[in-house]
Amino acid sequence: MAKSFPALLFGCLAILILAILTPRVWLLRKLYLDSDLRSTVRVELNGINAQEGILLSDMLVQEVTDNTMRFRLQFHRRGADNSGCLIDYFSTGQVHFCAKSGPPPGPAPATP
Amino acid sequence: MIAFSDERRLPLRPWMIPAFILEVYAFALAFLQAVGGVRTDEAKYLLNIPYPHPPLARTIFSLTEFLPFQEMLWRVILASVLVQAVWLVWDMGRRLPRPSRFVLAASWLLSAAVITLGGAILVATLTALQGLVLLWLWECKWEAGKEINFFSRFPLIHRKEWQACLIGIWWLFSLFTAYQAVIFLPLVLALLRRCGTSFPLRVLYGWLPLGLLGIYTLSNPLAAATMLIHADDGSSVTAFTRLWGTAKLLLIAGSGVATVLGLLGLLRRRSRPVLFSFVLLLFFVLGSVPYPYYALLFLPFLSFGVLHVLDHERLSVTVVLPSLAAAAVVLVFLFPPEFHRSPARAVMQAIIPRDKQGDILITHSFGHEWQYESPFTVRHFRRPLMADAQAIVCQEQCDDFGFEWKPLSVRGITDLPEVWVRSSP
Repeated sequence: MAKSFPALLFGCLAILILAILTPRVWLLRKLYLDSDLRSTVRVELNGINAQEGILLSDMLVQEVTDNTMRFRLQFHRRGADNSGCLIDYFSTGQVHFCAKSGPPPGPAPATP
Repeated sequence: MIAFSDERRLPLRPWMIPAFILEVYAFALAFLQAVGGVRTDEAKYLLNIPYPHPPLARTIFSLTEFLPFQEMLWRVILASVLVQAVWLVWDMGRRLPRPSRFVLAASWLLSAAVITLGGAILVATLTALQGLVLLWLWECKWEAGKEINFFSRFPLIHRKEWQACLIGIWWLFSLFTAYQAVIFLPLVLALLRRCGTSFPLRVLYGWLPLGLLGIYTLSNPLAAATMLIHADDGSSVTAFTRLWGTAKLLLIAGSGVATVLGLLGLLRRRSRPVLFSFVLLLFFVLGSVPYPYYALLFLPFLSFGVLHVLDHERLSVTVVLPSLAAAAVVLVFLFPPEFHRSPARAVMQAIIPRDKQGDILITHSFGHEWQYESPFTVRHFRRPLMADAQAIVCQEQCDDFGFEWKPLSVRGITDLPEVWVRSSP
């Protein structure tokens, strides 16, 4: 037992990291499996950038479905960042705040 | 009168004076870099902007964002760990006569890469140190009961299973600091083999962290996309530019003299894991755009090579040390650190005292240093956004924005960028 304790400890650390990362990858699986969806996401992100002037590095894609893209918008700046969760509907091109997320202070969300 | 007896004085240990001198050197390097202000890559790490590297180091950097001296704090910390790492180099050469150990230590301290990049906030600095620790472990001959180095004092670390676990954790942390740490895979696997680790445990400690890094990359599409974009940027670089860029980085890393000695030593020692890691690094640099900070990655390998030249050759310290110092001076003169200051700080120092609310809109592409210097949201300039903006920064000549806007003079900036602010109170 004493000999396998270090391996056990390392295994627990690896499982912890895996437990944090796997759900995130699962929500993004369609982004990697469907090339059409991938190009749609790229177009939508570029559209939001073109309309709202938001930096691509301020948008973190969190979930992609056939019709929507959920992303976290975080305006990086010195001090507390304004951030919020947004959903982009591919069919209408409209962007809304996620149901449980309040709007980040500042201009209204993008409607590309 | 209060007086302390002699017995209560802090005892002066032999390492204290050199450590203090090294710290003065580290502070000098940090202040040298501070002249140029925060660069885009540095801002990316300090603000924890989620690309291109994994999150470990940048998360730690960003925890200090509330400090007004965050930039200087990390410059000093990174310069200090890079300079004080010379103790590991010194320890690697414990079998050498004292003059040769000075040459070895100088190969680290007088590297033009340390001088020009030592105080920069880069993950490459951390990767270089992580590599140095692995090379130092490779040089340590772990013998039970013998005091080989500092860690020999801890009995737990004498146990092979704990050594393997610690190597695994170090490797995991290195990978989650920066992608380029992947080049150390051959060295890590060899170290694990030396610990007598079984194949399943080698998979656990050596390969599983790589798998976890792959899964992390999939969880952050921006990181993956950035790597593809950088690879695409690199495709326009000619083979000659890549070769010349890599040669230049090698030259800077070893200040010429240690470059030649280090490469000779690497070839002479023929340590396969070290050579494999070095070749992976060469391929990595040749395959990407040769950014100046990659020079730091070569540094531990060159010092390792110098060690093995000094093993066989008794080089004259009075010749090698002045040559190394002179070459370092010439190279620092030829490839100086970036002193050009981004206008971001000056512009923000003019905007902030106006005490207005609203976004900052910037025309054309801009670096993350603008975000770092700004307590306000920074966006690309788009006309419809002007209603909610308090300032517009034009990096090239702008048209007049109308009577609502007036130009703001910024101290130290006569031409570009132009800054426009609302004329209404």
